[in-house]
Amino acid sequence: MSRKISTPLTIFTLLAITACGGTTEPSELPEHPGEAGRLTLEGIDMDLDGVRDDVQIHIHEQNHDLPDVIAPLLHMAKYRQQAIIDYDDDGVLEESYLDTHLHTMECIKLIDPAGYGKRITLLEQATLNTGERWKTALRLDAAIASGQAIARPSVTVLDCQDVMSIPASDK
Amino acid sequence: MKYIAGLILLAAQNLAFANIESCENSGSRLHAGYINGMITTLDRALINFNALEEALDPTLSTPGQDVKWVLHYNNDEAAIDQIEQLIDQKLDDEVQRLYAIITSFNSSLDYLDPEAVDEDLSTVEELKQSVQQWYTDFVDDIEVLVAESAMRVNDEAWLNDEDLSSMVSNIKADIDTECRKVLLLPHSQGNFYANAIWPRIYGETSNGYPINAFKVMGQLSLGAPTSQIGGGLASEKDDSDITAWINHDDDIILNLMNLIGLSSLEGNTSIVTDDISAHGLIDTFLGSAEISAVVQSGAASIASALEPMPLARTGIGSSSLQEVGYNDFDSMLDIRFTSDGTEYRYYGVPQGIYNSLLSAESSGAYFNANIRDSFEYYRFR
Repeated sequence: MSRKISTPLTIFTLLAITACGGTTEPSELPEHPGEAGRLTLEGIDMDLDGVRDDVQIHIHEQNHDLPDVIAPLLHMAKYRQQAIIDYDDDGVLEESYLDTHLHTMECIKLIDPAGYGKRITLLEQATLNTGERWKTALRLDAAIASGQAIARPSVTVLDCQDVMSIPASDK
Repeated sequence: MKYIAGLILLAAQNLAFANIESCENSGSRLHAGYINGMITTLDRALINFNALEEALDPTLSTPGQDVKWVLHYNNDEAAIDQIEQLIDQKLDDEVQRLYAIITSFNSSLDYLDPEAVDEDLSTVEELKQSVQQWYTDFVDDIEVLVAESAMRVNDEAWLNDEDLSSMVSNIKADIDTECRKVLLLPHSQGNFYANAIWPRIYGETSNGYPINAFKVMGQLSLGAPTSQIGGGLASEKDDSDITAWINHDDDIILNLMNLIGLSSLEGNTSIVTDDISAHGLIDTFLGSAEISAVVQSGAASIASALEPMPLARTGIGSSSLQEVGYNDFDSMLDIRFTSDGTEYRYYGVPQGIYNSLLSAESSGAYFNANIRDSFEYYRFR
């Protein structure tokens, strides 16, 4: 079951993909919203990239030691943010949410097999930084995955191209 | 042409999804199912699941055994209701503390950012010391959560629980259609689910055979707040070699349960852990090489004691033995007798004995001389 992939080779290949297509360079980061960013469930997303500004800053600051994980973490945060908003609006979620989430997590694990757990936990901690957000996330998780029998998707380096570029802003 | 293609496709689909009537003669298939504990977010459950797989897969994926890892995710409504009520009663900084406490119960504090929990904390060590103090501050809240969870094991509401039904369906399908043995790996409150799965699997039949005649499903419980595990096999069968639990002597949840009069399985390990709750899946049960080895050994022992449902058999044209089937991984021999149609399984039969049985001039005589009284057996039909 375990996929044995050489980590240096994986990172080299991902770097090559990044060099060819995407970028992990932070574009100009938005200003930290401070307390104002905690007042609503959605938070503040001034640069309209789909990621809460405080979370966006957190991801860049916490993961500068391994820039390749930044783009997939941003994708994870963006998709989750959208799911929280959708769920809060009408309880309707994209059918592909769980698969996409699992796919992105596997890509992050592929880049950093030893440290992915801490990076994702730190992201979760930064994302669920108010009681309302924690409560909503628990409901969301229950809605998308409770009762599911979940198997890890098989992911190769090439499969991860879709999350290796920084999410674009809709500005 | 289109019609014929459609028929072929339909037939292929039926083949793909049809129940198999017997298990293969070579190799083994295992469903390793982790069942998460209470108030575990999806990401935490996935990280725990991956950690468990990484720790146990090298032990379980022995040559000839295909292991399918499954996370049976559950995020119980009643538990969410409870935590919502607690969150609503708390100030913002208390919510962060509660989040840290819950994380210590279900996974690992090492992954958290201490400053995000409390700006006065700068290291994980400081966070751990603080969480230890917060346990005392939040003991009433934790007590309510634990008691609610523990009491519900006998609640009739369980019978309609959708998560439970889904787990049972998935496991049953793997037994019926993929001929998998099942190793349940429940943690914490996941043990209530695992216990509830037992009668719902062992009370069923698979391809016409009562499942409780075969040790097809076992359980290694981690941090089990339940008072027992297992049960449900045929009365002649003992489940002691396919059930085990590992509870830490210092487990804060289990000790709290005992304090409030809810008995859990006793602690059976005191291996030093730096997990202050002595309950978190990663920090307590996979946190050191020593305890990880205990978990690996327990899982491997149960997996090796599991058995497949009836094996594929071939007719051998004997006056006494109608059909025989053998599995080289489990060293098990299934025989259907001609005289009365009864079916028996013989355990620990070497491949050479099976080969000799097939090539014997009189298979009945060979069976009487070399198998009948030489191996443990069980009549399953």
